[in-house]
Amino acid sequence: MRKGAAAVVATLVGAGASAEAPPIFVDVAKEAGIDFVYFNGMSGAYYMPEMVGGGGALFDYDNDGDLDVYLVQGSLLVKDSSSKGSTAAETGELGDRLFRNELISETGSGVLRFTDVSEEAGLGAGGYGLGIATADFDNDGWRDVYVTGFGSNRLLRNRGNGSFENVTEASGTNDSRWSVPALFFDYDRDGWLDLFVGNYVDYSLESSKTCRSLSGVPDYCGPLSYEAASDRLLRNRGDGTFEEVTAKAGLLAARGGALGAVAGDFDSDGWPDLYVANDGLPNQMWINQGDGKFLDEALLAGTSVNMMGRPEASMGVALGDFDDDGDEDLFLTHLRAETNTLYRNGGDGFFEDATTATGLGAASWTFTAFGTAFVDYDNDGLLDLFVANGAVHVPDGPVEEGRVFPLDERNQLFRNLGGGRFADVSASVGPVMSLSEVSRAVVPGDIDNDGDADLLVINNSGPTRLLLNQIGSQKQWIGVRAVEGDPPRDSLGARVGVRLASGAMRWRWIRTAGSYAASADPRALIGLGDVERVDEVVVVWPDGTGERWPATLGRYTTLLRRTGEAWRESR
Amino acid sequence: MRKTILFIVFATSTAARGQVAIPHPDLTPVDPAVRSQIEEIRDRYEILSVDRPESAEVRGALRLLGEHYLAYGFYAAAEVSLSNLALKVHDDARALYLLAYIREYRGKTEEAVATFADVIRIEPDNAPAYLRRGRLLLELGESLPEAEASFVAALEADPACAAARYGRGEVARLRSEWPVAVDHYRAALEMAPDSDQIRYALGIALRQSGRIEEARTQLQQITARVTAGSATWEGCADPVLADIGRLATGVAVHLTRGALAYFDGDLATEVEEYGKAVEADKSDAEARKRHASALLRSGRLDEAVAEYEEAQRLDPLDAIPFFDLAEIRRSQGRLDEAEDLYRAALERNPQLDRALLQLGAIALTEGRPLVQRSSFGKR
Repeated sequence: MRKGAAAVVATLVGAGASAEAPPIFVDVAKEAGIDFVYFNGMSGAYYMPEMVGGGGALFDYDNDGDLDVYLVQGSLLVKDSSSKGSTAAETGELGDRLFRNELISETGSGVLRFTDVSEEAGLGAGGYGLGIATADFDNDGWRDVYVTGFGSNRLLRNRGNGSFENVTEASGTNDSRWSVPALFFDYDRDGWLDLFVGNYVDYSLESSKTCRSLSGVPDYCGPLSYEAASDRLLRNRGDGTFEEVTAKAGLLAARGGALGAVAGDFDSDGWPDLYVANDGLPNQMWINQGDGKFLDEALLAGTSVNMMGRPEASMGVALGDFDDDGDEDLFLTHLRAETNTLYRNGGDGFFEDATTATGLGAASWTFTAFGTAFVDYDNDGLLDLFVANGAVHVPDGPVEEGRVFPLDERNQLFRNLGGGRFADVSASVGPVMSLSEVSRAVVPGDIDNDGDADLLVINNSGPTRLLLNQIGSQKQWIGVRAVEGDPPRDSLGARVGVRLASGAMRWRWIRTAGSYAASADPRALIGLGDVERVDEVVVVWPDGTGERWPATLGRYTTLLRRTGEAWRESR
Repeated sequence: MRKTILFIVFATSTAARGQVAIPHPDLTPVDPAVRSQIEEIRDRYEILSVDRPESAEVRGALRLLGEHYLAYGFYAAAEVSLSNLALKVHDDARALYLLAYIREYRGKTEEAVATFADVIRIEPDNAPAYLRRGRLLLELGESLPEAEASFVAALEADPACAAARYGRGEVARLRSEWPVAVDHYRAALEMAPDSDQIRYALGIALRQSGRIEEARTQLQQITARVTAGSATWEGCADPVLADIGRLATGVAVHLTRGALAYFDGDLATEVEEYGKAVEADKSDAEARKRHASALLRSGRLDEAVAEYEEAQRLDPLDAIPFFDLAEIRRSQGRLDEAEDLYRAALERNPQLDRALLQLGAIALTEGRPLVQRSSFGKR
């Protein structure tokens, strides 16, 4: 009935309908209780860390079935030496914030509403936070948090009672350098999630250089003004501590100023690999050799440099099967005057730069992009792309009075048209997309559990936005939480598939890492368009074994390993 | 009455022969030397177009105007100027080539393809026109045989044109004819051995042909030379555009080229161009200032300081050299000197908030928090 009425309206108003169409994305952050501004500690000295934050996570910390929001906070870079203490209040720091989603709770009424529980969660003083990873590293059934930053990183163990314990030192996971990306993945397949931390450049406030814009005014330096820092791999011993294995694993063979990272099985051998997006230097595709070692095969894979043979200023990274051919393609965000780059996976782990052919090149030329996510925002079955933009250099022209951080740009949404083409539909999905802000992380997730992808957008020196998708259930969908172990934890690296009427499978991967400084909803949300029925849903676990279950459309189902019927892939 | 009006409009249009009014680009941000040069040409053209609209002189002035607009990057005005010229002189291959180039630059791909075809009709051995047309046809993705024919013709006209050979490789790549692509890319690389773009394409084509180790060998050579040029124009002479490049000379052009290098992130060229600007006019304070900034970013601190000091001497009222020198002294821990220089910068420009903030930061370092707070308050 609703669809019929909409069709009549469209017919009556004709081409003008789009101008009056209700917005697809609406910012509900403030009214839902998320009132947060990332504070970059800007002092006028143009310290580089000021312009790279901040990050955040969508994760269910209290296991009640809905996504909660963790927002990483910055702090003053030059501090008053009289500040003492360990809590946010004692040090005068703003501290990270945890917002509990009350959608599903003892007192919840099904309304999207958040409560700031940062104090009772015991988050404490956080230093200068930038990025985040979430996962159950100690296999106790509760999702833990790793926060990266300029200075110390922090591992916060979820006690399961609504509070977190800082176990950074005890676990051996601290890294006092400048870190942005981090991710948990079980690289040795021992059942314990290991930790990768990407480091940016060797930088300190004391060694900070003076850089200029074209017109001679002070500006932020680029990454090549400093030496790139090495990344870090930490193996989970399974006893709450981690072992430093970076050198042993071969990850010191290349470095590049990491700002993005994602794990995936690029060569389809059942061992999780790593992709590291570097700012201004070649990217790495670390292929897991299955013996604890990694080899950088990015050059041969075609994902190290662009088709000009040049490295780009890679910031964010997204993996997803945009062409629905069963393998994951790679999308990277870049600086203004570079294009964002889409590498199409040929199915054999070899990629080809498809940026121009897909129409994503020219559209990104005038933006500096950070966070990004493949999301099927309209549930038509094709993965679309969201790109969070914000410059890193002050403009050369005159700046209006009062604009103290003039790096703002608008964000972009690209709709997948099928046939390997994308179109910028930002102007037609709601006024929120015309806001000009300094966006950094974008975190996808279905925050109201209604079967469409919502987006958390974190702005530097501006309000955090929660873009609630109004598409709802206009198209068919299926949601899956794939878990393994006892107590069960998200099976990071597993893939979830449904067989379409054509006989082809549509796949989505269980993953929290990617984008920029972000940790996303670990559930698989598969848009199905107008499909009426799907017979079965399949999970291929990280070790390559598969199981199947009867499919239920229009809801989320938790699928526990070893409870389904064995399934073998026939390619 | 209506018929009469229509007739008058038609008659006027005929008299003007389709000429379109040339836009007046905003020359305010342009270097004064460039501005006066362009304004002088424009004035000459406007006088001639009234006095002798059909004369050879007006055509010459129109050409000069269009080419100067192009040389300094005013593409819209250049396009109209050269389009007007092409309407007056139908077989002017040079004007048409520049017009096609501008249309290509401005993203009017289909129009550019047609205009390059006009050039080729007049000059059947114009290699750059074939090459550019072939590349645009690939971009449009409409006719691979036509694109291939363009690259073949470009190579016949200019056998040293590596980019045309690369274009043939691209055609083969789009047909997934990987061994053929390998042959073309390899031949192109022999012509332009420093091109990372061609080497990358060769590596990928070798990989797709199953020649993995050869691919790896090629691709591994890319990272060693990440700043090398592009295959877009490798090895192909373009005398017309070279002429345009020579139109702009002196301090202004070096400042412009330095600025373009800045946008390309090419610090070495930036230092070089600003250095040339200083050489062209040693008394130009702006050139000194930009050269100093580029030197500073290159880590050539002592040379940067010398240039800033020279800029201060040449233009004692400019706050920026004082501020920049203050920043250098501050980074060297010479806080007393830095403080004096920040104050000198503020005297010259009281709106320079960043200098005030830095003074606040120094005050804080020396245990004077009140100044720090007042600085932040101002922000």
